[in-house]
Amino acid sequence: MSERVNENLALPEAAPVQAKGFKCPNCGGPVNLELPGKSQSVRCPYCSSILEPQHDVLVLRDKYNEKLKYRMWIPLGATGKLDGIEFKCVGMVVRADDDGGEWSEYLLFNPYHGYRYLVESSGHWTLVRTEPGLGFDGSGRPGMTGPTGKIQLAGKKLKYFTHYDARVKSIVGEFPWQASLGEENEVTEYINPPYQASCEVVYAYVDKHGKQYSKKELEDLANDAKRANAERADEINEIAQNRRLTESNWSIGEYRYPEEIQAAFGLSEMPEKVGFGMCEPNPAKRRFLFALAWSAMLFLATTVTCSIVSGRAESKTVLDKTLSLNSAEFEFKTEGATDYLEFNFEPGEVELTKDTNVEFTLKSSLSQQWISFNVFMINEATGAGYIYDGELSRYYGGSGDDSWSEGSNDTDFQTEKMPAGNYYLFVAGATNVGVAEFKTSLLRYGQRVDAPAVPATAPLTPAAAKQAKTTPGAAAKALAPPPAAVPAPGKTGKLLPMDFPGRAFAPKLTFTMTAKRDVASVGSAVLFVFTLIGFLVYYYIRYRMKEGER
Amino acid sequence: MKDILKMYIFIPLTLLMFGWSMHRMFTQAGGKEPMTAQNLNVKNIRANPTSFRSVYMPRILSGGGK
Repeated sequence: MSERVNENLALPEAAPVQAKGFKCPNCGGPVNLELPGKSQSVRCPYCSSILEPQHDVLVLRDKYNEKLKYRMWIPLGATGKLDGIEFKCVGMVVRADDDGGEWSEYLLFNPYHGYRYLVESSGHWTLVRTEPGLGFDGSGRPGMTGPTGKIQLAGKKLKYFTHYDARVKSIVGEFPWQASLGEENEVTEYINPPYQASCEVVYAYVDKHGKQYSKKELEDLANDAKRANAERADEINEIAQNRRLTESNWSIGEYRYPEEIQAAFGLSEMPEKVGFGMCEPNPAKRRFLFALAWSAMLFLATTVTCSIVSGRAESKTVLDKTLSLNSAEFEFKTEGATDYLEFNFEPGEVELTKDTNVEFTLKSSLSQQWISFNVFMINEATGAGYIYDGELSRYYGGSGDDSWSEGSNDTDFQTEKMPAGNYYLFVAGATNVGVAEFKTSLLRYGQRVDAPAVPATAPLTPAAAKQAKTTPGAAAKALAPPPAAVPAPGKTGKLLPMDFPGRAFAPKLTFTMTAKRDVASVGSAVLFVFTLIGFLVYYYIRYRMKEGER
Repeated sequence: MKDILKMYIFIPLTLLMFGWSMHRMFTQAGGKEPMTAQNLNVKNIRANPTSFRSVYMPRILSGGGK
């Protein structure tokens, strides 16, 4: 803010003025004074001259003959309610920094609450008021801990944001101070969105004779010396080092959304919002906090429900059996150039007293070996079979840093929800475990002929029996033995003889099979929780990115 | 408005997912899908399991029935 003063300071300095309508002493155009007795400078809307009201006349202070080129989004005299207080727009100051950035500061007035500044920069608005109570640290720097530190404001820590030189480019309307173009001061900004605090200071530079220079005068002096090739650099540097604080103004502000300003002043047009406002609350932060709260709530609900469901589920181990493959039935087979052993064993039964799932866990002790299997669950009452396949393999090699391994000795799977009933388990599969030993045994002890094929046929159902009675020839067809077993082409099977004495020398592999019933299916819940975490990470990254853009 | 719309999408979607996962958990949905076979006679399989494995199992697994 340019030389901000509040009304308490402005009043004693203002010349007594009662009239409201004036003529410009430069161009003769009508100039209206909204706040006679308060304003110390007013700009002519026609010739842009800066005038000073004194004893019911306007005195020409700075003469200009140009048109005002800056647009006022809030027109002079417009009224609007902010924080429940009705303000009238009485002026606007356009300022710029060294980087070419420009912003507008609208001067608002309320007879009971004094002046406020509504700052518009790239479509972002901040309502600012002066705060003379804020001071300086012990070394005379603005803020409690200096430009790189933090200041405390109403219990909030405001972080240092930026420091720059601001210059008045244009003024429109009337002001309670001696406004002029080109006025310059140093600004230090602190923020904690939506709040900001800024300290504007003016320094005077003093030479060895006690003569004071403004910053602009010192710059002009340096430029003149440069043009004249005068060797005054040391002298100018000395002056630049010897500066004194002649004026300081603290102000605090709060970010306002454009919609609020537009509604307050009934504006039909607003400047386009570009990028982030200096003290605009991070919009991503709000979403992140919302997502955090929302995810935490659902995470809690999911965890509680998982616990309830897990507690409710029986998770009863119905089968825990360690089987040695050398106690199973083996058949030596060859497919192409690959020799392998087919095996089968009957681990037992699983009784399901209600419709439920079953979780199978299988462990083995493989070493450079593989095993594939099918687990048959056959309902003894209905003859319905459910077949689940799986495989295990464990290979490794190399040494030191080049060592590698793949596969695992463990696997598990969960069945879908099975109908209640008593299930007979049958496991059959193939493996390369013990192939060499089996071949040796076959050479030594001979082989057994193929076992007779017994039809795995269920008894006739009542419907089939009825059909057999009513349809000629159907009974004979239904009771006929199944077609003879035909081995798959390219496959040959060899069994050790029944009286083979050394099964223990055949394949050696421990295969542990565990079955649990009524297991809580928390897979979907886990997936849901991971999705929640994904959402959170997404919003957090957005939040951090927006912070970075600020 | 955009934020509110996003929230309106975010809330129902997550609620829907929450409901879906809870439903699956309570109903024990999911699990490995089995291959099925009908009219298997446990008595006969028990009588000669090797025959079942070497003769009938390949037919069942190839989808040709027993």
